[in-house]
Amino acid sequence: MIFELIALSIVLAYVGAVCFALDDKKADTLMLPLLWSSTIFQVIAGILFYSSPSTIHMKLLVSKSLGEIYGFIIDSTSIFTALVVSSAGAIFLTYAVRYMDDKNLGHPHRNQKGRFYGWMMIFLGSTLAFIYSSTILQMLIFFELMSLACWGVVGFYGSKKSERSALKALLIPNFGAVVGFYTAVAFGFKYGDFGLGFLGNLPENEKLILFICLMIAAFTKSAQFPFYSWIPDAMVAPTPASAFLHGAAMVEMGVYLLIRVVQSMNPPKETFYPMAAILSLTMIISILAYPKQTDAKRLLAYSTIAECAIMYIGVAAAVLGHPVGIKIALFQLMNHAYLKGLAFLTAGAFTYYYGTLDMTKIRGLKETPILGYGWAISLLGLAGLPPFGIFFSKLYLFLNAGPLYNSPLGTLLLALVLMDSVVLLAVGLRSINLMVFSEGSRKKVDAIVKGALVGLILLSLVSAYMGYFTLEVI
Amino acid sequence: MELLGAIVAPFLPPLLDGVARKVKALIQNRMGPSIFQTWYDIITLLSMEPTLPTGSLAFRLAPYIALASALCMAFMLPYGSNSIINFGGDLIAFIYVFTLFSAALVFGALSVENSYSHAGANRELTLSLVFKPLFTITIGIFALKTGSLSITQIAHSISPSLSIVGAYLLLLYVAYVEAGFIPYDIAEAETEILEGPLSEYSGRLLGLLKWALQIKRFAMIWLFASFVTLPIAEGVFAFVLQMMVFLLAYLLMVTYESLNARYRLDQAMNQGMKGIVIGAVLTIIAWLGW
Amino acid sequence: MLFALLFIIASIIGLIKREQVKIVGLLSALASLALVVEALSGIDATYSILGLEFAFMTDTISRYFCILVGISGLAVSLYTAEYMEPRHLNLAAYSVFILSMALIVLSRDFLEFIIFWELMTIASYVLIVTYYDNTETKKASIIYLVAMHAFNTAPLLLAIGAIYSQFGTLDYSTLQGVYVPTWVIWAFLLGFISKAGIFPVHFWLPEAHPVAPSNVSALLSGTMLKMAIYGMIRVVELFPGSEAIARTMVVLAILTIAIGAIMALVQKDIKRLMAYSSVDNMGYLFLALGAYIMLDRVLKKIAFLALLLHAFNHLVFKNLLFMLSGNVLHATGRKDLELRGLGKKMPFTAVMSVVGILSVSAVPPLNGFISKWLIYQATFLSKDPLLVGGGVISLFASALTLAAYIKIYRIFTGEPNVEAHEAAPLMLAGEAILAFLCVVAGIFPGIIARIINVDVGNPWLISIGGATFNALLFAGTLCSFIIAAAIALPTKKNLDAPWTTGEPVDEFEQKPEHMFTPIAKFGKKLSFIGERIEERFSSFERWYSSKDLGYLDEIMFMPVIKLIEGTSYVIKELSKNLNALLAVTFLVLFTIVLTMAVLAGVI
Repeated sequence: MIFELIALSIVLAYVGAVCFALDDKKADTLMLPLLWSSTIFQVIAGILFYSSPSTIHMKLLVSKSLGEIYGFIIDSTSIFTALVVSSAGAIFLTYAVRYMDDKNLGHPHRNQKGRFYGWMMIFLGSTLAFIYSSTILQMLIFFELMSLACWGVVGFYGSKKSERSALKALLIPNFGAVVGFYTAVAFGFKYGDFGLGFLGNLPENEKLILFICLMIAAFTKSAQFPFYSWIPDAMVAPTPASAFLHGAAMVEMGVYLLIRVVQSMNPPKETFYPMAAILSLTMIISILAYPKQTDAKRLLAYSTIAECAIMYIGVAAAVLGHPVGIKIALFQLMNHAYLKGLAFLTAGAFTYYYGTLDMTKIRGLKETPILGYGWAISLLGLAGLPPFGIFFSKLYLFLNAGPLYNSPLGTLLLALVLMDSVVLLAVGLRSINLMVFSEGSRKKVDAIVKGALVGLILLSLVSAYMGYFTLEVI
Repeated sequence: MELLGAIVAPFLPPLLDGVARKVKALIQNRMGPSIFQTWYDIITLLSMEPTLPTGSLAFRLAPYIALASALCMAFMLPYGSNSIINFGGDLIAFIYVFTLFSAALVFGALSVENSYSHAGANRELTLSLVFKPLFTITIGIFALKTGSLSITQIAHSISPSLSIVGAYLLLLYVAYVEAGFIPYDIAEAETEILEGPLSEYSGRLLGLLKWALQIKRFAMIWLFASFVTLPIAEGVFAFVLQMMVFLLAYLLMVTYESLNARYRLDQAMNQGMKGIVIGAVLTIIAWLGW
Repeated sequence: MLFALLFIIASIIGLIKREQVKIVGLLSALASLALVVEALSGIDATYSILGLEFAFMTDTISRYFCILVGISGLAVSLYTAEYMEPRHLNLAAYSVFILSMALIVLSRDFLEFIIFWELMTIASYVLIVTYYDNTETKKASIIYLVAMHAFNTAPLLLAIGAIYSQFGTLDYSTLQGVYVPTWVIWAFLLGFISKAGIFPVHFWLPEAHPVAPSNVSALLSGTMLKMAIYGMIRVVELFPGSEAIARTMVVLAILTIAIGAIMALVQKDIKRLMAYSSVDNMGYLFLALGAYIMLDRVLKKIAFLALLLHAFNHLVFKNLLFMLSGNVLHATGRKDLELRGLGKKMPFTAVMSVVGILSVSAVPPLNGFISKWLIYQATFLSKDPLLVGGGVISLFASALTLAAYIKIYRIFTGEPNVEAHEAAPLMLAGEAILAFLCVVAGIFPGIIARIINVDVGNPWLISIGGATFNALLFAGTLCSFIIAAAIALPTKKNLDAPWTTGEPVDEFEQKPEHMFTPIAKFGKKLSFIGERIEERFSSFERWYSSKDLGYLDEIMFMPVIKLIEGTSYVIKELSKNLNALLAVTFLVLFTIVLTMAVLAGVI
């Protein structure tokens, strides 16, 4: 039952690709039911799973010489991540129904919804399929499909800048994919097994090499140092896409990949050092970059990089032999998705109602309470203030960082996490003072936008609790 | 014995003030008033109705509170071997009742719209900012050496040493300053600011304030006298010795006063700062054991 | 836990109906009263909400602090009912603020502690930005929240995380007496001194407290700072090894006392003066705590009593003073020291201000004196030069405090220069409760000591370690002198004008900034240093914002891309010649095959 629901939700998402050929109105009427039914199926599958949790491994395509080629793994990790991705995606795409119309001050759209929904549904389907993958080959395929969808939306507006950014967004993660996945597939050919399980059976030195390669793949996907610049440039994408791809789903798939690898592989402890070094440098880049941003989405992009680094810290703790690290990473993933989504959608409302994303030009958000609260809550929540989710996931990180306290690099990482939240808080407060607590005119906010923002605020309030329950954290 | 103190404390100080005026006159080669003159003045003042420049309650209450706190100060001191109000740590209470006295004076002065009163209040507080810490340092030395903060206990357990001698000298200096003798009577400067806080007081209220000031002067010097005599005497003999040391110190102070002019506020502050430095050095010496 | 329910209801009402100040205020007052009553009889409750378990229990210290929070909550909430201007979420935040403070004190483990602690911080932020149209408020809110996050949240998170990682539990009873690494205790110290406003992390206090509405300033200064003391006491009680931090704590406390008192002297704004005075008083509290750690036997008990009594006393009189400044602000719209003559129209405020000022200056027989007296006992008798120095500086600061607050008394005297009116009855009621407590705690300090189960002999006195202070007798003596004198020598009211030798008074009036000049010079130097530091900071920020960082990774791979572009251009040119094209294609294929072979070989 669970498997059928999940498969159905993936298929429904892919059916959405038909939207490429449709005009605005028809695209709306096709996409919304497909989207929501996909999400609802996913949620039902989740409820069924959690009522009696047990791992399901469905092998769909098995070859004699190469073992399992295609299959689904349905366990707590994948269901959890899929729930986050589905729910976030549902809200963001519903928001896009309003955002992608022609009343958008910053980017008036004419008849582009079909193309947009097509790419996004492909992306949604690929992400879900990626999450449930059970073999390296399958992961590779859907990884590349995700990158393709990313290229599609980043280059959506067709300007020279967006084309360059789109190319960057395609090539850099692709480079990582080549290094990581092609190596993994090569190993798979060598050992005749593509399943994730075989990763654990490799000899130690090969594990080291493969882990480093896959780590590079994950890091390019999540825009960690030194491959980070494609994300700030990718902010030329339409905002619902930025929210989904760069806030809630795509970059987090790098984390998911590494989680799966750590879970199946049990990598040697020495891999912690290069990982921790890269993560520290990532956080330093974010800290240095925050105060200079004047564009709202670019600020959020750097924040995404730092928050992903935090998720990776959880994975790093797991590498050191502390399995609760996986839970840290997943908890942070859920909390971050909703708050980042809220931030991006509010930024989208800036484009829609104010026509600009320049934080020095937008004023008087307090006149439009939903925008004022949305922006303030998202910035304060991202910095890690309660009662919003990220506070609880950061708290969970600090409580369970165990072995990190004993290693100097680990303590450096934890200190950098704190420094990052302080600098983001300072920049966020400055932005709130400038944008929210100033004089301006009231904007009439549409019901869909309002609903999306309110929904995300509520979700960010309960996400810590939901995460606690589903992961049995604490 | 303590009851004797209860009589001495309120009623002796005006007599002493009369003596002081006589001595000053003799030094300045004039006849001077009789030694009971201050008593006559106070009684006259107390029998006159005051004129109030303001309806403020604080103005009217201040002299009463000042008198009460001065009396409390005096009653905390030993006459003979014991004091009337006696408890551990009463030296700190002594300082703070003194603060109550200053506060009452200042509150009263600030309640009336007179630049002279305000100037006097300002000076009173500024002086206390430097000399209270000096007083505290002196007490600190005594406390370090005797391990107690009770006036009677300290008085009984002082044993001579380098730092104690220094502390005595400092205490003498502080008593001189807080008693308001001439180089340091900056707050109640008669000629400069029309008696400062006292300028708007008249009649009964002025009488009470003047009496309170004299009792305060008595208390400070009696403190010094007690610290000097009580380590070496007991009972009635101690009281007699206290009285003698007190009178000696008083006369010396009065003589010194007659030969001096008033300091400016910043000059007095500088002196006080120097005293604090000396006090700090003495404290270190005391801690080192000498 | 009835109080928690009432607070939550008040908060929900504040969230839904943003204008109902009176209801929220009165409900909060009721809830605070419930808190006091429940705390007196002890609280022991465990709740299982949606699968999460919360345990709340009072022990000696937490019961005391609960009562403190309750008393201040009661007084300030009555005041709030008439005073506060509802803006954005501040009404809801108000109840959450007091509730979170109560729950911090009632927590039984560090997890609940940190969660409610952070809730308290964000509630205080929302309350501080009530008047967000003001530039100072905006600046102060950034300084406050960032300073708190950097110096308070960060060390606490690290410390608590390390404890959990090492011991696997955060429960107080399990952690009792456990040996934690020294850096954890230092982290706790840093965290709590930042919240308390101890030098060098005191700079946020004089910015944040004045810009908040007066009822919030009262809660911030009076109650929130005590939470830091509570946290520090808890840590010192739980973990041995606090001797390592005691000396540093005392040194920082002494510096704070001096700086707070001197800076208070030179302020021109009433609330900023009181904020610096709070800094000064927190210095006393940490001095007492340091003395408590460093001393033993009788003196340790004295220091402990001093600490807790001063926490109570400061809470009471500081709340009172801030609320009174709110009266003045409400009536006149100003909070600077140039005001005059408010005593005529605001008699109750004037009288309660005198009570407050005398309490702050520790004049007997009001409550400030007892705790200061105990601190002096503990420090002077300790034979430790650092502590004795602390005692001396305390007395110096005490004199400075009187001098500073006299400036505030000045606004009630003289001829009025603004329109004023007395405050509303509810506001006065809240203040009256605290003024009454000032007097009562001064005369019967034994009652307070009873609550903490410190043995002071007879409850009518304070008798500890051989030192007895019979406050009742003392107050009685003082009053009998006053009454005797007043009866023997009464004064009739003969009014006339002041005589200033014919000079106009306003021309020669002593302005507040000219008072206490020799000492005030130091204060001006200190504020100058503070301003220079701020200036350096903002110029650094400007310089940094103007610098342009490129993309680091582009610096790395752009040369490669340019190389490939160049190569492809060359190939394009070559392809115009077929032979060359074939040659190049063969070359490329060969390279690919070679690479694959190498890869396969490696693998």
